[in-house]
Amino acid sequence: MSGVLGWSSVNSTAIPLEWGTLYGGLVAGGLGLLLLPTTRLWLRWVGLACGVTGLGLVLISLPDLQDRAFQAVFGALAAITILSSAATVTSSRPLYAALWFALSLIGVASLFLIQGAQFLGVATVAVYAGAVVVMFLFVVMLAQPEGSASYDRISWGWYVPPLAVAAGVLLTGLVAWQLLSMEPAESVHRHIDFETYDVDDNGQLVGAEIRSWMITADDAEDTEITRDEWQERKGHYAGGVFDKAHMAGFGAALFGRRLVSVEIAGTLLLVALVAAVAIMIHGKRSQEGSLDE
Amino acid sequence: MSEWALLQNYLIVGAALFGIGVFGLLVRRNLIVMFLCVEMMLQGVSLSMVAWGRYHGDWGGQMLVVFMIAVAACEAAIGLALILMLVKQTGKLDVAVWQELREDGQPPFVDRGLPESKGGETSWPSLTPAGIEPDAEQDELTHRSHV
Repeated sequence: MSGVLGWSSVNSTAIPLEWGTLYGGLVAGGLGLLLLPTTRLWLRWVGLACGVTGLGLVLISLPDLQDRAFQAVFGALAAITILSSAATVTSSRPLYAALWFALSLIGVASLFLIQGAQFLGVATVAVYAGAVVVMFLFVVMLAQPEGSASYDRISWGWYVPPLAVAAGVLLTGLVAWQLLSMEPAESVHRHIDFETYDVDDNGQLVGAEIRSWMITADDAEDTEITRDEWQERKGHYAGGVFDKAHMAGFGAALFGRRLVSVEIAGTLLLVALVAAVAIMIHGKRSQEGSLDE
Repeated sequence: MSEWALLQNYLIVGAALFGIGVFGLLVRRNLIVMFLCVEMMLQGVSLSMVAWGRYHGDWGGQMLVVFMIAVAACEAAIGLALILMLVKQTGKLDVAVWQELREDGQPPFVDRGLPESKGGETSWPSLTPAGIEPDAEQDELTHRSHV
């Protein structure tokens, strides 16, 4: 811990607790100041500067990825995501909030993508930013055509924003503290199907190509392998950013083991559609009834 | 690239998204913005799921995120239908309108010192109608002649 500010943790895996809470407090304090009514515009600028400073300190002090280019891309995407989320929460017009949320979703999708989750990146853009946000925009247009109402510029009294900042800081800070003070596990437990794979006398897996670690045969046993062995055998997972095997593996996992869940999710979507239509019809009927009375 | 450091980075960003979502849900009073904050919390959890899935080298995390997206779409459809119904009854997106649903014995929330809108209300210029309004032919009103 000899460096200045966050640079000390470049070589260690954990932010010191006091620095972490300081950064979190800066970010959240910035958010809280930003939320104040728009009559004092300079306070929002102070809040923005405070939040950006805190975010920069947090990003600098994140654990080192040992890959400068990847770290730079990750930092930029994380900054875009978090800043646009903050703008979603603090913008007084719901229309702008929805648009900022779309940008935040694009940031999340990019984070998925650079982690190798290609399908989820595309699905987030298509389903969330494409469909859900547009639905929100439609509702904003139907329900509140004019800019910002008075309840958009004020919260629940003067003491709620500081309490909410405290709640958010405590939650995030405690979670971050726990995460950063964890140590990686040395070994992992996996279920191995011994009918498919050969095991030598020492209990090590040999021979057969391992296609999936998610095997739950009835006669599976608990086996302990070291982390390195597991790392080199998990090639099937296709976690690389541009791994061409990703979609094939993902589809096999989704429509193989999780087939029933997919069917249930499809049914759930249908039920939700029917429910939404039913709510609208019922609401219209009850309104007509109240007009008649 | 260290997988452990990658996991930690993603978990921190996910926790930050979740925290911002909680904060917004507690502070904002607009129904739609509160809903957006819930979706943001879901995004934070999704980031953590994908990161754990990559760290453990199996598809479980990504599978969960797929189903989370499906459930979130259902939730958005039903929730927005409900919001539209509520807005039709009161004309406001304010949650405080629905505080009659609070528990017995709780004091009501009363707004004090509403901020006056500053420069928000722009008055658009309007033209007074001029000239003579032509008589509409009965034929043109009842038939579409050029179809």
